[in-house]
Amino acid sequence: MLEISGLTIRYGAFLAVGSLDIVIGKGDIVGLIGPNGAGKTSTVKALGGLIKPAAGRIAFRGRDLAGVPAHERITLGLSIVPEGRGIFARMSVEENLLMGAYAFDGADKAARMRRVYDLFPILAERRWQAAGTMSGGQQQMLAVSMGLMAEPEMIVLDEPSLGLAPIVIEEIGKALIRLREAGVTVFLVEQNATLTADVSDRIYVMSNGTVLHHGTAEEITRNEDMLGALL
Amino acid sequence: MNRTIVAAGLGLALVTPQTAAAADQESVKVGFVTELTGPWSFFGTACVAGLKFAEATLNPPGKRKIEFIQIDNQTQPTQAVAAARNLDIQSKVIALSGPTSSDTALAIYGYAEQNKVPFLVPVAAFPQLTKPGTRYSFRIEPNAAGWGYAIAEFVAKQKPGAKIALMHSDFALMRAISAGLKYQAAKKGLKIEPEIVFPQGSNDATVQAAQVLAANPDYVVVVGAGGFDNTITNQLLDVGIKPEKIIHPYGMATQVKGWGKRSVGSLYGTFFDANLDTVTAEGRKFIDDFKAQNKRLPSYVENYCYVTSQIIREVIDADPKAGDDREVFRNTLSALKSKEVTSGIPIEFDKNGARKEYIYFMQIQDVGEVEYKSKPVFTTNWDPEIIPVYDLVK
Amino acid sequence: MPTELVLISTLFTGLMLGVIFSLVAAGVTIIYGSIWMPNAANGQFFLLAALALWSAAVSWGLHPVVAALLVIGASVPASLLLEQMLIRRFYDVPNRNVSYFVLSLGITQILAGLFSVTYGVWSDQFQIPPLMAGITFLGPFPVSNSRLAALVTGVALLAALFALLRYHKYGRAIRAVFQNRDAASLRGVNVRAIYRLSFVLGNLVVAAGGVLYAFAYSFDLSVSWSMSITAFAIMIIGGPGSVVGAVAVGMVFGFTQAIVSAFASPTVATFSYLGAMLLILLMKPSGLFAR
Ligand SMILES: Nc1ncnc2c1ncn2[C@@H]1O[C@H](COP(=O)(O)OP(=O)(O)OP(=O)(O)O)[C@@H](O)[C@H]1O
Ligand SMILES: [Mg+2]
Repeated sequence: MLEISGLTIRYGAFLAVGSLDIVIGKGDIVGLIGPNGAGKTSTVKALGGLIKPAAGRIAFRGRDLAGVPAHERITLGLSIVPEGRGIFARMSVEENLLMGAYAFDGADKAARMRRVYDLFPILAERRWQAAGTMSGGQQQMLAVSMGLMAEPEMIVLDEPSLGLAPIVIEEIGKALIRLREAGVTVFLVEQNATLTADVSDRIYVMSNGTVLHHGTAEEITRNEDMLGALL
Repeated sequence: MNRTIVAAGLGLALVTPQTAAAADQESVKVGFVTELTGPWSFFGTACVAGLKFAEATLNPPGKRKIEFIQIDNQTQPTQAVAAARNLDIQSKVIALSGPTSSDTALAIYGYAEQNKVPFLVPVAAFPQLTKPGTRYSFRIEPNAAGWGYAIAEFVAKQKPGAKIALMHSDFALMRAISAGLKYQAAKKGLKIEPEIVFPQGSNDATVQAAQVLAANPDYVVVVGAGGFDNTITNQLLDVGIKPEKIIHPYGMATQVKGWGKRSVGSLYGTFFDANLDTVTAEGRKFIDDFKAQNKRLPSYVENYCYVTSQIIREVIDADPKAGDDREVFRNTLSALKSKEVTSGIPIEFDKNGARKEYIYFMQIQDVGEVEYKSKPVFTTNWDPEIIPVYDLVK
Repeated sequence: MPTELVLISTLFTGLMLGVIFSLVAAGVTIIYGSIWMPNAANGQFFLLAALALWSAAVSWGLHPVVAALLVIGASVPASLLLEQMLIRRFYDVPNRNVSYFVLSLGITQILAGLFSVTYGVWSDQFQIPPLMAGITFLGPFPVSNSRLAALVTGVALLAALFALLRYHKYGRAIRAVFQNRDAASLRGVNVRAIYRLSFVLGNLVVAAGGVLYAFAYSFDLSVSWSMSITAFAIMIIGGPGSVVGAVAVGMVFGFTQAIVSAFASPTVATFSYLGAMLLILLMKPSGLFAR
């Protein structure tokens, strides 16, 4: 589904990501964990086309994304929920969801909306509320739902657990597992190792812009010393 | 000794014919600094259009040539002074003229008085241009406080004890008119109520028109500036003020057209109008030629600039030295006793450079595309200092 | 009856001015909100529309309605051209609002100079033939039908603008770009295309304001300056980038001018603007409806 090879990202002279390789298969839930400043968000931004990598290749469903502008990537089936949620604070929940399906003119938006309301019933109750006035957890649910309104092949989530209570994190985790059941590939970028380990098949551990470890969730969680030192 | 005489004779022989030729050929230069661009350019370009017709007959064969050097002051006092200085020092003009706005005229006034350059103001009405002690500046247009005085005289004659609503923009010219009006109204037992002053840049007068309607005055004196003049007039008419009650202190042909057919019956002041039967044959020809070329009638602005050129011709003709000596020019102009060739109205300046003042109040009869019809309903003349104009307006 | 007359005329004036202020300020704030261009030339664009209307309706003799549609329509290719030639060159500059401000000051100077040498000669004559004849009585207060039509059209345009921004896909995209351009881009919004659309839409609304103003009032070249300052003040008080703020504050400005000039004087009204602006900015420096 997604093949990242040799991805290198620079901010001026500063090397944020150096020659990163990640492979994600169809239907997988893959985690990417790493400490602050590891280069996770930079990687996600490169996936979304918001920044231009200095080198490397990103292929999505076999297609090189290099020439694909940011706003066209969602129509290829790649839906990204950015760090900081990327919701539109002064729009209602429903308008946010409509923005989620912005690129899909012919789609049955009402049906898509019903499906996300199924996943997060609280959003249906709050559909007229301005997104910016909702609680952090509700906002995160909205962010995930926006990503799902595209009915993507693959969804990328950048730190969905940030600032959320454990009980809310759990709810998000459950939603992710339901997504996999629906056949959606999930790329979960996180600092929260527990959440990542709970839902992921495989995990990449990243630090200082490169992958340190890579293995199944069990392999990685077994290596608690390393994780503890990192996170 | 012989050699000296021969040399001197040679020198004479060489020099004399040249000097004579130069005196014959060298034209008298007059600097004409006016508003060709900027907010007041509709006045300045109207003036220049009038001047152009006078220039056609300004230089008959056998007379010393008079040449106007036109410079745009962009309706900016600083530009006006810079142009005046340039004309004085570089072009060595004998006199300055041209401004049609009180602001630019006042700027040049300062320069002219200080540097002793005769300055003939065609169209600017602020009283201070001829304040006591003025020596080099002369003004053709009556001062604005006097117009206000004349409005009060007119209204008092129409209806003693009348109530006048006064609406005016906050420009120096309008303040001067209002000051004269209020001064004379008090003396004549007229009431000014309400008085509404609009700051510069105003755009709406709907509420004020309603207030005026509610006050039910006998006359409404309206002086807007630029487009706002039409806005006030339209809004007064919209709320149902009768045109017969509206007095515009001054009206040019373009303004009359702007007020439009709805304004038939309303009054405006002027100093020259194509509808006056006192217009001379030359004035009539000027009007016809002007109309043919500009698709509208000339008014007092065009006339005063036409007359400016006539006055300068008469000064140069009266004393040949006036073309080369500014003091002589100034003295000759000061002593001039003449008449406007277009209207027959006397031209004579008092010790401060002001004219005997006069005004016509015209009532609009019809407004067409090119022409309009109006008839004089009141005319008066007065001494410039009949009211204390220089104290009323600083 | 006289008080009623003054009251209703005050209301009408407040509405009329408010609608025009709102339109212009909305146009300015749309452009600022999307491309971060504080367009100081808005007053000149406003005047350009009014002058073009005058030329089309008076000099060419077109029917005023046709002339109005032509002018508002022509603002679209004009904006596109300007966007292509100048505006888009700054889209990737991080601090472009400063560059834009300087650029727009330059445009202001050029247009003001151009108008002065071309239209200055007629500056006491800018009056558009009425849209329709007749007078309508609002209670005791008579209004010319032409101004009433300008008011109704202005309200309709504001409503259409709101509907577009609220319910249309592209309007929602414009708001999304205002609020979070990276997120909008990830949702499939072509941000540069929205920039272009906003620039065109903002100028179109400003042009419509100029056209309606010219129908409601006679004008001269000086209107560009007062409108420019008013629109900026409204945008800043309303919160830059907030269309709701621009319209709400625009209405407040219109009514302030009407009420204060009725019950105090027109001169006090101009100061009351400034006073209100300073007061609000002291209390809420980011503007009333700031994000
Ligand atoms: N626009 C930028 N300009 C300069 N440096 C940047 C920029 N964005 C990110 N960086 C730097 O790149 C490095 C990687 O940042 P990134 O945001 O990708 O980390 P992260 O792994 O997402 O961290 P976190 O878990 O805290 O979100 C950091 O050192 C950061 O300071
Ligand atoms: Mg991050």
